[in-house]
Formats: sequence, structure tokens, C-alpha cells
Amino acid sequence: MSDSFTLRLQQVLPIPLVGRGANSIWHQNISLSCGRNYQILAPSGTGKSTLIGILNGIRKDYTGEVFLGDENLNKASLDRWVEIRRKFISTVYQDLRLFDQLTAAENISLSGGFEDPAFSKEEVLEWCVSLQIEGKLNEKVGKLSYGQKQRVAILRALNRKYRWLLMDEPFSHLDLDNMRTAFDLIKEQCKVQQAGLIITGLDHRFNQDEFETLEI
Amino acid sequence: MGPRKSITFLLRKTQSPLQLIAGIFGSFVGIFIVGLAVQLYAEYTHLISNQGNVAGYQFIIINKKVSALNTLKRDISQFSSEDLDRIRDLGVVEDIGVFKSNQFSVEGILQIPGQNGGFGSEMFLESVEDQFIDQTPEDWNWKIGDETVPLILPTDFLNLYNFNFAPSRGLPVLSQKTTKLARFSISISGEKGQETFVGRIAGYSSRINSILVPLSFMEFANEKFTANTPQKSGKIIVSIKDDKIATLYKLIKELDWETNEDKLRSGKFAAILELLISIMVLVGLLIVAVSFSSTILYVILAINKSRYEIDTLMLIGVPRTFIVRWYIGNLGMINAFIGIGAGIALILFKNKLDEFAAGYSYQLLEKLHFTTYLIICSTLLFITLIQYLRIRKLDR
Repeated sequence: MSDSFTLRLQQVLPIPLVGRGANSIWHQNISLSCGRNYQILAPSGTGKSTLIGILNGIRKDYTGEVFLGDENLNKASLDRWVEIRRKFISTVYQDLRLFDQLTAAENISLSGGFEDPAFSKEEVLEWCVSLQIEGKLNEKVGKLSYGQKQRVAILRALNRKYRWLLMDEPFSHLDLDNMRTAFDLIKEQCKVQQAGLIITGLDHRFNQDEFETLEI
Repeated sequence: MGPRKSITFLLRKTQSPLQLIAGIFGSFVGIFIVGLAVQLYAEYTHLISNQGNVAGYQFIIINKKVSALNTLKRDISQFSSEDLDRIRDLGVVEDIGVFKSNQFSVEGILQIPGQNGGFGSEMFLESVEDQFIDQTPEDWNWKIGDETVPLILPTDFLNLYNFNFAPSRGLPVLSQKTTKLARFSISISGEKGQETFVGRIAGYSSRINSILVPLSFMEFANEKFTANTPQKSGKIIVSIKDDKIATLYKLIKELDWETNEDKLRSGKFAAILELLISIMVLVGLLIVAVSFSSTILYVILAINKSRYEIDTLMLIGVPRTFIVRWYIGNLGMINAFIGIGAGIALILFKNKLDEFAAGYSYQLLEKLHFTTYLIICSTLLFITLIQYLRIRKLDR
């Protein structure tokens, strides 16, 4: 099952990074198995967000090829990419990409887009309680702090079916307690969904035994 | 709010009412002008086909100038077949009619009941093909054996009688209808004999300033009462399109013939009118182009304003077709309202136009022409299509 959702990068190199030294991701043939956890370690400016962007179809400025299972994603049309995002790849963007005009609850429920809700309301509410955001659900996201917004973005990404969860520095504005709770929730949910997890900016304070590290 | 509602809320929220109003106004003006142009053109062709002399064909009567030099020559004032060919060779005249006049002498006598004798006068008669007569009366025909001869008199005759002659003599004024009831004798005499017919006024003509009888009667009488001389005419009538009059006028000046200057002036006026209409159509097209580009601009602005929302929705997996359908559904609805609004505005305008035209005794079309509706609908469909093609280009 996992094989058909394996992400493969073949000689991928973002054009802005041409000429830089070799590393464990760029210009390599690497295979990321669905169901496993990966953390990307890299100094800033070396292409962490670029990798997330390439894997969910935002960035096209690279050489090499990316596959999801047997599908060459270089050839995927816009509509196919939107479908892939809807069905297989859920993302927490570094800039969150929330809708300030909608409430936290509305942003979270928008996640599934047009699919039937993947989780019951009660279940989602439980997550909200654990991340201490339940009191803010009816507030417009525009009025929330960045840390609260970050938790809304995580919940939106979790509140759906996916085979890959991509997270670009999801904890940058969370306190340690919230970070741990969120981290546990994410790992648990990826297990439930048998999904792969790719996360950037993971802190050394976390138990990283379950993670395979890719260094740029 | 459910997900679908949230999405439509987001897309709607980012629209600017001012831009929307500007876009609607632009489309409305464009559609209205397109509809108006089509309707006015339909009215124009309707007027031409039904009221001939309004702005389509003109009928011009031409005769040769009589000057001191040629007063003594009998034939100089007659049109030869070469003269007629010269007019035809211009290529601007639709038809030429040659007036035939009596070669015999005619005397008309009006009998007053209860009195001996009556009014009598020497007369002259003319004939021309029926298509040159402005209003051919229903009973405008004569065949051999008929005793009664119908006549068409110039409208001016009756006017002169009613407004000059009758008041000065204390006589009653007469309507056209009354005069049509009168009968009088027409006594014809020539080298080959003499005969009396009954004359009856069949109608009046404002175009031809002469006493007209049916061509069949003229041909019969000329042959019967006079020695067979080839008939020439000193007067012709031509039908010509307004915009071609200038060419004919040049020839008339060149050959020193005479005609009704008023008609020529109105012909020139019609030509200027046509030029003005063409300019208006050009300016209209320009406005239409500008207004259509404003609707396209509106769509581009609307999409750009919602760029973040559209991009983000597609990043979290909302199908592009849903977003495109939402836009085109809304624009389609707006376009439909614009169409209905423009239709209503045109109907109101048409009512005003009808009132205005009625003041000048012009009969316009009963309602908006079918083509006007058709053009409004197809233009709106075209705009919607262009908008759709632009919206479909959403990328992320």
C-alpha cells in the first residue's frame, strides 16, 4: 500500500541552488517511504521550504524529476496537483496560508475542501482542547496571535485524509508545552492514517528516534 | 459556515463594490449602444421601405431650361434618347420615366346643376409610368371603351383654390374627398376627330405638378386624335438614391437643365445625415470596445484582488472548477441582469422615440426588432465567453 505513495526525488536540484556543494537531498536519487517520518535539517536559506514547495507542486523551478508512486509529478497538470493536495498531500505552510476573514473553526473545517469530513466534530474538538485553542474557535483568525494561528494551521492540515503530511517549521511560535502536544498529536495521526511525515525545523529537544534525518 | 459557504464567502468578500459597479456600468452602456444601433438601423430601413421619400429614393423631375435663345425653336426643349442615355450612363439613377403629354387639344367643362353652361377651360394632360406617382389611387386605370377618365391633380391646385380663389369669391372650401365626387366633361379634339369623356379626380400628387391621366389613355388618345408624330418629351422624372444625387446634380448643371432645387437640397441633407449616422456608428463602436474592455478589466481586477484566496484554496485542494464555476455563475447572473436592464432601457427609449416620431407623422416599428433582442443576447453570451476564457486561466 505504502509503495504506491512513495515519494522519489531523482537528481532534483532547485535552479537557485545550482553551483552549491552536494548534500543528502539535492542532486541525489532518494526515496521517501509513505508511513515513515523524516526531518529535514539545514541551515536557513539552503532550501527547506523549497523542498516542501517542490513536493506539493508550488515550485517548478528545478531540474530532475519527482515521483509519487509511479506518477511523474513533473507532468502533473494544475488540476491534478489540486487533486493530489486534496487527496494525498496535506501541508502546513511556513506562512500558514490561513484566511483571516474566517473564524478558526471555519478555517479548520475548510481543510477537507470537498471531501466528506474525515473526523467527527467531537474528535476535532478534542484536538483543539489539547492544543488549548478551543476558546478561540469562533474568533476570526485575523485577531489571533501567531502561535494560535500556527495551531489552527496544524489542525487544518490534520483534519482530513492524506498519505503525506508536509510541515514547514510548524512549531516556530509555540511554547514548549504546545510544541510537545502538537508533536505527539501529529505523530499519532500520521500513524492512524499510515501517512508519511516530512517536517522541517524540528527542535533538538524532541525525541527524534523515530525520525530519519535528511541533511541539506 | 460549511466549507462551501466559507469559500463563496471568501471570494465574495474580496470583491470591490466600486469595481463591480464600474464593470456593470461599462457592460450596460456597451450593450445598450449595441442594441440601440441595431434598433435604429431597423427603424431606418423600415422607414425607407415604407415611406420611400424619407431617406431612401428621391424622385427628381428634370426639364430643359427655356431661355431667350431657344424660345423660338420647338424641339430644343425636348429630351432626346441621347440625353436619356447620358443620364443612364452615370450609373446612379435607378429608373427614368418620360412624361408623355397630349398632342391634341383638351377642354374641361364643369357643369353646375340648374345652370346653363358652366366653367370651362383649356387644359393640358400628362402621363408617366405608375411607379413614379407618389400615391397611385386604387381605381387608377383606363381601358378602351371606358367613358370615365381618372385624373390626378397637383395638391397645390386644391390649396390654391381653398386658400386663395375660394375666399376671394366667397366660395366654399373643398376637401380632397369632396372633389373626388365631382364629375366634369373633357372634350378632346385633334386632326383626326373629336370626342367627349367624363373626368373624375382620382387623387392628388404632391410630387408631380401636372394633371395626370393614365398612360393607357394618353397613348390611346394621341394615336386616335392626332396624326402619328413621334412623341418626345420635355420633362422626365428619375428615381435616385439620396447619396447619389450629387452626381446627377453635376450633370444637370453641366448640361444647363433645370430641376427642383429643394429636392436636391434635401438629398444633400440626407447624404450628410447618412455620413453623420456612419460617424455615430463608428463612435458607438469605439464606446462599445471601451466598455467591453472595462468588463474584461473588471474580471482581471476581481481575480487579482482575490489572488491570495484563490491560490490558497487551490493549495488546500479546492478544485479549480469550483472556483471558475462560482465566478462564471455570478458573472453570468450579472450579465443576465445587465441584458434585462438594457432591454428595459431600450424599450423605454423606443417609447420616447415613437412619441417623437409621431410628432412628425412617421410610423416607426411597433416594438423592438427581433434582431435587437438577438444581438443583445449574443453579445452578452460573447462577453460571458470572454470572461470565462479569462477566468479559466487561473493558475497556481
